[in-house]
Amino acid sequence: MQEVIRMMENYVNSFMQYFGTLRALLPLAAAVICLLVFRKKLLFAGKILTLLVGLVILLYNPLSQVLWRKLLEQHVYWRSYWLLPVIPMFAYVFTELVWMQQQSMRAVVIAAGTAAAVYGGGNMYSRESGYFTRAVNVYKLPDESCRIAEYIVDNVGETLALVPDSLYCYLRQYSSKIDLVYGRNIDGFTSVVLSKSLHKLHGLMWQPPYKVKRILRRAKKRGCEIVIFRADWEKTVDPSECGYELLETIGKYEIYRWSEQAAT
Amino acid sequence: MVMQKGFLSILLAVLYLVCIPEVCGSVLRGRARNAEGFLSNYLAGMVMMCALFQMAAVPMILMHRSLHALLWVWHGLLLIAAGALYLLRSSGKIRQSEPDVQTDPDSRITAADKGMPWADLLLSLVIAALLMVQCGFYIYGMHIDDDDARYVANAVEAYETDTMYHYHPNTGAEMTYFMGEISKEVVSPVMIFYAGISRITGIHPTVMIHTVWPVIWLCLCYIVLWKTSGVLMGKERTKRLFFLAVCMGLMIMGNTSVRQGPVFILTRLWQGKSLVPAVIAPLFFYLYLRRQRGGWRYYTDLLGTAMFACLGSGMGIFLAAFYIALIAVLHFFRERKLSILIGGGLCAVPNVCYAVIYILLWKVILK
Repeated sequence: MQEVIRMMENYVNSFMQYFGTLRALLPLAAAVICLLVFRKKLLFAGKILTLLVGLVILLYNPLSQVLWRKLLEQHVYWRSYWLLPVIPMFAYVFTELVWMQQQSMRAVVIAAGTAAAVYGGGNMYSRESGYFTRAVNVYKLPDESCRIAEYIVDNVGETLALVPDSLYCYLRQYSSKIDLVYGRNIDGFTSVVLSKSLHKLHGLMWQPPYKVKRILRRAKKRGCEIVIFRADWEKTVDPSECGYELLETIGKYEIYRWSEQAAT
Repeated sequence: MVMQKGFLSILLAVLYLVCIPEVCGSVLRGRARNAEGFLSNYLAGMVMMCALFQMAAVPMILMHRSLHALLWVWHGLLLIAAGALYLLRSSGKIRQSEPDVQTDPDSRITAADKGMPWADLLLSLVIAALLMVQCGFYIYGMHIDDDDARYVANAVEAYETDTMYHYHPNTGAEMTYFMGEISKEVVSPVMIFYAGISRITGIHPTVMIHTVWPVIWLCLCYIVLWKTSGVLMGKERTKRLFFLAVCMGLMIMGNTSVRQGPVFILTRLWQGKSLVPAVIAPLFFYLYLRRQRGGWRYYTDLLGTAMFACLGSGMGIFLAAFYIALIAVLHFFRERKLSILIGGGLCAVPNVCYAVIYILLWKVILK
């Protein structure tokens, strides 16, 4: 019984993960109802409804969901909802309903359909959605990370760098010449990092104040030529005392480079 | 450097992103006679290019070959395929592809639609405006996604070092095997496709990936929806335009959760997984709705779409196989022809092969 309850919970969770709100089901529900009600007038109603039944039987039900979760990885089952042709289905039904009306009634139907779509949806480009900001460079990367990468490539060349978390996603999108001691993999993405010392180093870089001697000793041991610190975070000592001299400050980041001179 | 070859980069980009797909489509479907034909040829050509790239890329990645070697093989396959299709067409063995709209016996023209040029013009303007808004956000806006730390980094690495999945995308460390999630990308190397086109054009892959490719895929998405409207509404142009405008409006209003298809389509369409809701699923839906005129043309379309889906992502591999099986079964129940099941099964064979490699690399070897 508990298994069944968990199965149903997972099913509902994945459903809501995809749709977000019950309102979002409005266009889908409206389309399906209209297809059923007007199936004799809509030429493709039968074909579309058959497809939906097939999708529900084979994919969108709690039992098959268990199988598919094993096949598709548990956390991405919701992507199977991408197969649901919600947009063309709603657009087809809406268009045909509008054309079924007399000219005078068309505006009313268009208004009703638009209201359903707006009520059940959300504006992709609103400020609240936060998906887009204005691009500041042609690479569409954060400005500071782009400038830092450009500086390193132009002035240092191929190198190994230790960088804060706020930069590690972006530098290698600019150039593969910048190798990193760790990147996003340190947080469990791409491939698991098993090295405890690397996790320790990450932990030292993670929050202020920077324990500079410990960080730079580990960095030097790994052959890091470049170390980048956040300028606004306190440092226990000046990195130059550990052989790393300041090359440049870009935005809120300080770029340090290993120097034999500074080391001696 | 953003454009290594200067103005030539732009010419090469136009050649590979517009002209060559159009030429490939025309040898596959026949010369375009109107705007509808050009759009259909472009879609078919792009699918053909991607399908052939997928065919060439996976074995060459597994054999640790270089990117430029892969590009040579891909061009060879394109020439062979185009040449073979041209010869078959010249000898009359394959005929001009019949447009879905004109010969579909279910297409209806109502008296009301014959004289509504003002509505067509208005709807065309709305569609153009919506398309400009959506493309404008991709061209002038910036959407940061941390998944690009792997995806785009793989493309940049391939572009700069002429290797394919040889170095870890997050660190640049040399890999002795396909580590972690890289093993999933090996069978769906869309980022290598981007790197290949960038290598040819000389335009930095990050620039193309974040600006050019989303616009290309977005246009393909709406070409598929336009063709779907042709099946659903026949020759009634005003209805078709209305349908497309509604689709575009629903896309913009599709932000009810970060996982919704429209969110992936309008914010990060360069990622392979986003091609599933944008192009692949609508393409399968269109193929399902379109009347099957029989034989090789339907199955080549299905096979091409299946291969294209495999290029996009692991989700594309599995979901495409599922969709092909489903529509084959549904068509079988309608038309009672065993050849439909056999044909559908054969079209899903590449998906099965790639799925086996995917599971071997990701679930078996790593475990």
